Amino acid sequence: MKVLAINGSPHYPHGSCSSMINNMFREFKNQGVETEHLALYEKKIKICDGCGKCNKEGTCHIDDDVKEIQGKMIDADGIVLASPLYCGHITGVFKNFLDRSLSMGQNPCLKGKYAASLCAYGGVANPDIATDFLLNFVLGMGAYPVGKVIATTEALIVNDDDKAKTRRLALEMIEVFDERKAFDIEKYSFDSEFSKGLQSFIENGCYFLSKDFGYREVIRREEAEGVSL
Amino acid sequence: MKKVLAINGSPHGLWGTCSNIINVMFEEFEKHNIETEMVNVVELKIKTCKGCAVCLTKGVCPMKDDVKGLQDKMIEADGIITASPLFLNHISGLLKIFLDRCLPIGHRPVLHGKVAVSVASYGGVGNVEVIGDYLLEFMQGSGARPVGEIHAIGVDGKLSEQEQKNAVKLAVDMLEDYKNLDSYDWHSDYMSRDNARGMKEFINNTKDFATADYEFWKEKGWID
Ligand SMILES: Cc1cc2nc3c(=O)[nH]c(=O)nc-3n(C[C@H](O)[C@H](O)[C@H](O)COP(=O)(O)O)c2cc1C
Ligand SMILES: Cc1cc2nc3c(=O)[nH]c(=O)nc-3n(C[C@H](O)[C@H](O)[C@H](O)COP(=O)(O)O)c2cc1C
Repeated sequence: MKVLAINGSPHYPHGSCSSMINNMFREFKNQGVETEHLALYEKKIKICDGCGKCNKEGTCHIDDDVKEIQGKMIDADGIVLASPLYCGHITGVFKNFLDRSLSMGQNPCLKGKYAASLCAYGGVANPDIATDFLLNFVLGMGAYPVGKVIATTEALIVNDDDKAKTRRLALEMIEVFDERKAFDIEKYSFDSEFSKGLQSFIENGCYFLSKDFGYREVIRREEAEGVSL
Repeated sequence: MKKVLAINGSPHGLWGTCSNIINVMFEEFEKHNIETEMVNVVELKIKTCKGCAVCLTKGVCPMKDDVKGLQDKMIEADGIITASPLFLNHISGLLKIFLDRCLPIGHRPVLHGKVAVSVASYGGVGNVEVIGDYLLEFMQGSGARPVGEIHAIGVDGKLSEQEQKNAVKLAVDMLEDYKNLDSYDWHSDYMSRDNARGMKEFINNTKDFATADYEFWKEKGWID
C-alpha cells in the first residue's frame, strides 16, 4: 500500500496539518505502508484560467506541477487531503489546485483508492465544510471516503486526542484497503454527520463530471457492460 | 453613495458572465452619478498567504503586492460588489487566495457604513447560492451591511432578460439600503452569529499573541 498526503498549509513542514499527517504516517510506517508528504505550497501551481478546455480535451493546457501531483494521486492507493481552515474554507492555494484538477473529474480515475481528509482550525466557523469539500472532490472521482479528522488547535498545536484520532483514521484506511472494500454509493449509510455532506453532494450531482457521465452512471455502465471504466 | 467597487474573482475578467452582471449594475449606478470601478483580481499580483500571523500580532501584512491597494479601495468605497464564478461548488481559488490575505479585515472589521452584495455565475450544476452565503458572510464579518446576492447562468456570456432585471434590482436595493444605513444595527446583527461568537472566543483566548486583534476589540468595547 502507498499513501500520498497532500498538504495545503503554508506551514509545511511545521504546523498543525503536518503534525496530523505525521501522526497518520507513524501508523502507516509501522504497518509497512509507503508514504509521501506533498506540500502544495512547495509546488508551482498557476491560477486556473477557466478556459474550459479540460472539459473538451480531458487535460489542462497549463504547464506546471499540477500534472505531476495528479500522477502521484493516480499512483497511490490511499490519499490524505489536509488543509487548515482559512476564512471558513480550505486555503486558496488548495482551492486553486482543485480548480485546476477539474480535468481529472472527467473520469473516475480514483476508483479503488481510499481517501481521508484532515482540517486544523482555531475554533472559528465550521471546519466540516472544508473536510467534506475535500472528500467530495475525490469521491466524485470514485475514491472511497474513509473518514475525516478535525483538530482544534491552539498556537498550531494539535492536542493528543486529535492526534489519536488521526492515528485511528490511518489504521482504518489500512483496514479498508486490506479488505479491498468497494465503495457502494447505493448501500452507503448516510447517518453520520460526515456522510450527510456527501449525500447532498451526490444528490446535487457530481459537478465536475459531465451530466451524462456521473458517478452512478459509471457504476451502472460497468455492471451492464462488464467492463472496468 | 459616492462610489461602488466591484471585485471580480473570475479568471475570465472582463469577458465573463460575472463582469456582464457587474456592468448592468454599474449602468444603474451611473444613472445616479455614482462612481464605479471594477477590479479584476486576475490582473493583480497577489502572493499566497503564508500564515505567518503578523497581521494578527502587529496589524499589518508584511507581504508587498497589490493586496493593500485593493483593500484601500474597499475602504474608500461606499458599496462593494464581490463576484465569483462557481468553481467546484464554491468560489474560485483565485478569489479565495485574495480573501485569505484579507484575514485582518475579518478579525478587525473596517467596512462599517458600507453595503455589500455578491454576484455569481455558474454552468447550472450545484448550489450556486453557496457563493452568496460565503461572500456576504465574509463581508458582514468585515463590518459591511449585506444586501443580497444575484446569480446568472453563464451561457455565451449573455444575460437573460430576467437576469438583467435582477441585476438592476440588486443595484437599486444597494442604493436603498445605503440610504437607510442608520437603521441598520451591524453590531447586534453580526455579534449574534456563530462565527462572531467563535471569533470573540478566539480573540479572548489569543490575547497575549494576537495583540493587534485584542486591542482593536477592546477599543471597540466588544470584549471585556
Ligand atoms: C489566513 C488565515 C485564515 C484563517 N482562518 C481561520 C478560520 O476561518 N477559522 C479558524 O478557526 N481558524 C482560522 N485560521 C487559523 C488556522 O486554521 C489554524 O491556525 C491552523 O491550526 C493552522 O494549521 P497549519 O499549521 O496546518 O497551517 C486562519 C489562519 C490564517 C493564516
Ligand atoms: C474549474 C472550473 C470549475 C467549475 N465548476 C462548476 C460547477 O461546480 N458548477 C457549475 O455550474 N459550473 C462550473 N463551472 C463553470 C463556470 O461556473 C461557468 O462557466 C461560469 O459561468 C463562468 O463565469 P465567468 O464567465 O464570470 O467566469 C466551472 C468552471 C471551471 C473552469
